[in-house]
Amino acid sequence: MRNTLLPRLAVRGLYGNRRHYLPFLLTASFIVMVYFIVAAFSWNESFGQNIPDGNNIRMLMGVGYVLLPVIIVPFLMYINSFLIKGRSRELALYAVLGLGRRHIAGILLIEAALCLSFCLLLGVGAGALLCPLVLDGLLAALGLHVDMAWSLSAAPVLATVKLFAFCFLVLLVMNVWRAARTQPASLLREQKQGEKPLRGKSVVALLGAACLGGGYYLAVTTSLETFSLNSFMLALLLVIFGTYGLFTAGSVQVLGVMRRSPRFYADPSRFVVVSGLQHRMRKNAAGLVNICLFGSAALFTLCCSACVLFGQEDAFAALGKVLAEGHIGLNTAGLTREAIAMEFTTLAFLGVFFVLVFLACTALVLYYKQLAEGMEDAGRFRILRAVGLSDEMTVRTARKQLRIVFLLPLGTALLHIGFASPILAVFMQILAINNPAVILGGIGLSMLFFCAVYGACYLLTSRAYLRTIA
Amino acid sequence: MLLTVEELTKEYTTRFGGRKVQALRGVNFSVEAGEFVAVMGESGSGKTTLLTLLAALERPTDGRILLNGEDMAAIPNRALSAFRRGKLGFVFQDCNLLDTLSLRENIVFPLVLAGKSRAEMESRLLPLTGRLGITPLLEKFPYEVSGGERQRAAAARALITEPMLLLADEPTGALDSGSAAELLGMLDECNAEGQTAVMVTHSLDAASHASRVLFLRDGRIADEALRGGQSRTEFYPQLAARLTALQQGGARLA
Repeated sequence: MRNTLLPRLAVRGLYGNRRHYLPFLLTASFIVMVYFIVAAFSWNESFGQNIPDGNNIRMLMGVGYVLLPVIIVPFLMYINSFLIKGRSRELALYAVLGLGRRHIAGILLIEAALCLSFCLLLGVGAGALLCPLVLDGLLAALGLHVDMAWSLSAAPVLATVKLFAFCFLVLLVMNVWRAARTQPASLLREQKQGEKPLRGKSVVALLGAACLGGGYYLAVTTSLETFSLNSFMLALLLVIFGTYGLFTAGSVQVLGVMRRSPRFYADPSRFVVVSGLQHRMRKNAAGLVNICLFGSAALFTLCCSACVLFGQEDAFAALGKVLAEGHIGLNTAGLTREAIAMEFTTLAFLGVFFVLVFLACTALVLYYKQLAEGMEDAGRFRILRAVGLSDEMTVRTARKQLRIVFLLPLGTALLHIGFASPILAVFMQILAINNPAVILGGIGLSMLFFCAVYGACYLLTSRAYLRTIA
Repeated sequence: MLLTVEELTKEYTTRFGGRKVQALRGVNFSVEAGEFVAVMGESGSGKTTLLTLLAALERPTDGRILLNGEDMAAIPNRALSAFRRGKLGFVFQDCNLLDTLSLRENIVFPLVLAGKSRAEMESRLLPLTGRLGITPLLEKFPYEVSGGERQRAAAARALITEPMLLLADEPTGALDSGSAAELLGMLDECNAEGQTAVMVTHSLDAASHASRVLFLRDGRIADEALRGGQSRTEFYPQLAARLTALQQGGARLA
């Protein structure tokens, strides 16, 4: 009895929170899969044997293999922080019922082990199945007809297991520390106090606007001659801070103006939405900014991939011209059309893997945001109905609120990418792609694709919201 | 008769097993305009169910509720919320004020829903809040004021539509004795000005403010006490005695 109690509590804990954990586990499995595929490509030695210059594929994939954890680890920590926050009451209840800290740590350990096993089995399994297909796709994109069998080796599996075991260990330590710190009595008490109004809003809003303007200015004035990694990082940081400042403080200011206008009292759904948004915009805004920034990262990478894929001919022609001026033939320089195509196509493929990870992050944050808002709003809508808000008006109000949550991050992401396009152009110039039509086309197509994917994620996740408040 | 309740029955089906629970089993009573009626009973006696049905938040299984001669069952679902905010006012135990709105916004919310003009909102708001003593607090948020002040704001929200019937669910349940006395005094005043009210409570003190007290037990009205010309201090022991008798075996329960 005693031996099975903790595992049973762990399983019950995961199952009871399945609306939170299932999307997390599926997204984490997806990320495991992407990481595994990239790892498998970078470890696969048969590229060098079967394809001329095939080791370049391994090398580029190796870059992704090193960079992906930089995104994956913080993201999983971020998601974990609000997964465990939502379970504080449950953990406090265990403590009140007499489970010691060691038992609670035991429950969390078993949960982490279960989650890790699930993600690894699903992610590596799906990755192993997909690897040959991805290879076929890459070879087809390269126009190569090589008969190459995919051989699965242990090394990428091991690397994947190591990375994610490390990730889940970090999450476990975070959770145990959090559980040990909580005071059961204070957690079980209802915490229903509102947020204190943010002080110095106008200063933060102005600073945000200045940061964003500075970042945009740096981006717009970028050229190949003046470009440096430092100025790029500076622009990136300025835009991130600016977005935070404007979303948190600027939005509250705008909502405050709306609240003082006579129209506020004239429309019940506006009345409810504006006051609700203003009330918790500080918390709200952080979520919206994260959605916006993950989305921007996905969109920027997508634009780069698209431009690289479509710009191969231009790069080839441009390089030919440069070399011809120096009276060196392309072939004598070792730059065959095939070699360039291979570099660029592989780069685009790698970009797509990053896009997939960024999109998965965007979708998951969007889902949790809708779920959390739904739970918070469920109580408010119950009161509103009791006071006399009709069901029809409830749905209309909810949809209005959802539209704002949808449009604000999307619009801002598109704006960011618009201003980042000169930087994108410089990146492409470094790769000898100078054709504006290619760059504009790449950006346009990427934006369309991104809007479609984001819209689909949004439709799926807003169902979670509407179901919660119904 | 302002309110007539006939053979009111409400059955709930438990989610698993489909067992039926009868929360109300044929309740009959009526309320005249200007009356202040309290409904007393233990937890589980059906008090809250009764109020939920009177508030048209749920439909009865059987029986009728007539408000001013109008059968509530005849009101289509889509008109119910308009009916609620036009004819009824509620004071809940936990206030149910929205944390996102200031007291002013909370109080005028029913008028916003009804599409009233800004000028009319103000002209109704200020006399009411003046009487309740919360005019200086109008720009504060619910979490910035005390429990008693919150409950007075909730009462203002219920009264601002000038409802035909005021419904109160344990309005003093979450208040200290001083705030409770203030709130009940305010209900007395409203009643003296002609406001009809039905209050559900398990507090003898709260019930002693009413002009008539109905005792609910196991979903039926088991007893009834009329205050008549008695003062509150005279009425209180009478209520206590009835309640004790009821709990010790339900002598009057047929």
